[in-house]
Amino acid sequence: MKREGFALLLLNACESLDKRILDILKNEEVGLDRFWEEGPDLWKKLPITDNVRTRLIQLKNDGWVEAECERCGLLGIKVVTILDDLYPERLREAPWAPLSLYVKGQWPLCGSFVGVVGTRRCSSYAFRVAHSLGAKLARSGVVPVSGGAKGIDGAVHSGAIDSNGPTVAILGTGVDKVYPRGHERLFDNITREGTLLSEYPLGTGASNWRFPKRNRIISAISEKLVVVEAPLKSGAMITARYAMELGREVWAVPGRIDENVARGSNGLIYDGAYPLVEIKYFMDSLSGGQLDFFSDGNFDVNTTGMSDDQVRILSLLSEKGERTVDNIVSECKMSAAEVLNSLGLLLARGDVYPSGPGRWSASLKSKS
Amino acid sequence: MNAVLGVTLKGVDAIKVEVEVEITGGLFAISIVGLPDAAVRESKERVRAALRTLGIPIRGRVAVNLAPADLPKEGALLDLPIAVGMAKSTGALRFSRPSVFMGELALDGRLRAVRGAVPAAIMAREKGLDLFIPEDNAHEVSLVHGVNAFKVPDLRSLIDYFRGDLELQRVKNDFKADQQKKIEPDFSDIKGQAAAKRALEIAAAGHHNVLLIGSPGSGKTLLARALRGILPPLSDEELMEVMLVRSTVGISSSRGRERPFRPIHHTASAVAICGGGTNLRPGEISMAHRGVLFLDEFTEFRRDLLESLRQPLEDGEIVVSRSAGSVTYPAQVLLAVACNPCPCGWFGDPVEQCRCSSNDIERYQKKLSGPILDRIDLYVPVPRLTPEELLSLEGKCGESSEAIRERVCRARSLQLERWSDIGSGSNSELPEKILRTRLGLSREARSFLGSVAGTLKLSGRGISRVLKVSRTIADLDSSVEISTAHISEALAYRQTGFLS
Repeated sequence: MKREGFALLLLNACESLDKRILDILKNEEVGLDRFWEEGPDLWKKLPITDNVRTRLIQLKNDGWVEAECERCGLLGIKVVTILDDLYPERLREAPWAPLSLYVKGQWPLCGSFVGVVGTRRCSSYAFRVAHSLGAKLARSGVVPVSGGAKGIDGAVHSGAIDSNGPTVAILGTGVDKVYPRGHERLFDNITREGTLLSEYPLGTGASNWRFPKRNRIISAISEKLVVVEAPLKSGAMITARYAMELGREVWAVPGRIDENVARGSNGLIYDGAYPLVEIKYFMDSLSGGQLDFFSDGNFDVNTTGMSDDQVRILSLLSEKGERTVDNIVSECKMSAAEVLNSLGLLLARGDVYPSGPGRWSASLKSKS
Repeated sequence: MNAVLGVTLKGVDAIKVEVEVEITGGLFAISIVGLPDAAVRESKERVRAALRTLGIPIRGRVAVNLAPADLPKEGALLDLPIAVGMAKSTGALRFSRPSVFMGELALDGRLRAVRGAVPAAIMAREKGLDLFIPEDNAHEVSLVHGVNAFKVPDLRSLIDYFRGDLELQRVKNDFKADQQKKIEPDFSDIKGQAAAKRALEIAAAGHHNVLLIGSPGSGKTLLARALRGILPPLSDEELMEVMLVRSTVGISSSRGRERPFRPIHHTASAVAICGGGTNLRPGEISMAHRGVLFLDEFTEFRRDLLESLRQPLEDGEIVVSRSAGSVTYPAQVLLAVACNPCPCGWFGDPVEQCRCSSNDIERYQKKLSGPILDRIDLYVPVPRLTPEELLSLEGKCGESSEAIRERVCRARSLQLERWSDIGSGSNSELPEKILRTRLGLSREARSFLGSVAGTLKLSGRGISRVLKVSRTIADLDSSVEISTAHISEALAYRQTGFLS
């Protein structure tokens, strides 16, 4: 790596510095090469805070940069600095773009990036939506980007993985760490086709304030942002705010209005975000197509090979939403055994799913 | 000379104990040898007092030997043989046929009921011995066919009988069971829950283990209790096995044909559930033999307790080994467990909000999934109905327990007939080999299962559970073949709904 790269890695390790330090250096007429070569003597003259200066000196004396590069080499992790061609273009434009990124997995990825975020404690409905959104995006060559957390984030990533597509997880820890626990398999799978990405040096552990910070990257790196389900106070809402500041298009999946869990995402719609009422509309908007809200929005499910009972149950579920077996029994006038064996068949076909204890819903099926 | 015989219990078996008495001159003293426990040692006071009321005073040094000497003897049931032994050695009575005596003596010579009468009757029948039992035990002993047993009200009548002054009443063999009591709650009392009711019907028909999972107040416990009312009645053979355990514990007052239902609280100890203790008693799992073992609030149970249930659930019996020896108790149970979907209980509820963090839920579900869950055939989610849903069901009563029970009995008799040659009474006990060859899976059903096993991520064990359950569903349908519809219904019971 060139001296320029070393300098950026060193500056990045201070965490409080971002793209703006480059302007400061330019004003002082200090090139990155010189910044690296001359070291502490030069740094004393620069208008940076004492804290930053002490940290820089300490890291430099420890030979941290060289060691970090060696660690990255050993773990197969790439470092992409802001001056690299491989640095994501949209992120570079952000005024606070991080100076370097650590990437683990495939890089660069082709296809446009779409952020899909939401709460960690989501409803099973939102989980399904996030999963199928991740799968659909990945299948059509778009890269879903999310935060690698539990709940919606995890659903998006695993959706993409299930359809063998790339996905990007932007982490609030070092890319060599796994947080939250239990996502070891998921992270492994992500690196097969996609990428784990972080601005934090290797070995950085989880701390509360880093997660909202990494949300900026999600919003900046993505062309559009979808908020699947978010309460008023949540990381996903922070991401949405950043996205609006950067002028990204924000979409939100409508949720129930009597639950706190979707109050934030519903509020976004009220504030003018696009309601994601059909995955198809969102996909059309990505390819630059005209939004077509007026085509018939009925569920279009392939009913070939289904018995009358199954068609009746499926249309009940897709028209009226979540139902218990009792509801289906009384509304379709069938016996419990008949309802259950139809549900079993529909489940095997992937047309329904259990959406809560004893409750069933129709799966999302969009016309493709 | 005929020995005086008593019995002591080892597991659910009665062991013959020979009682020898020697009376010599000297100061009055009674010593009992042959590993007696406290109850046996104290019997000397009861025996002495009882004999004195009959005018048989004991004088001198009395040595009582209980053979075999190395077998620990327990319980007050040896009172009577010791008294008879003493009376015999004073010359107060003599008898010609080898006989087994059992009973606890009151100070005035009356006989009190003891535990272990059924095992003793079986032992006496096998060895061709006469059996003398307290009157209160006659009820249970009358179940044992072909035993020569006599009801003894008190010690005096026994002595009169041997002197030829009195006839003792024989215990008549009588296999009529008590009138079946009506079991509350009835299925028709439970509103809605059609899916859970159906699942319980299948569980009862095929003796499948069930898991009821739902929010507080959804009716899990009610449904589990109603399960009793639709279980098929015990067969003669099963009733005998159940009575054997009950008699060993000493709770044999009722002998109805309804299957045992043993709810267990989560503070119960491993010994209480599996059996053991200094005197080796059967635990709850054996008391639930041929019936239902119900664990409410399943996740509150200690892990080691649940682990200790694994082996008996697999083998249908439990081996309890202690320093006092090792015994085998039967433990063929239908395991019913109930739990909340998450620590606060409201996960997935349409009205209440769940307050658990994702970590809480994960930890909870980890506790749920595990070795016991592997042995559950039917996952039954029990939705808590919203007030509107409850009102919409107003006035619609489901079927009564009686109607469901008839179907269950029919399905069970089909199974008994089909599996008679392999000695298994229900579909849930089928060995793997039979599953592959004799299940009667139709061709379409086989290819259907093959095609969905992948998409639903069924494990090998999962597939055999689905096959067993679908066999039971087909039996409820009186169908020889398992069709696609039967398989798909069985699949619906493999879904917990939210354990993603």
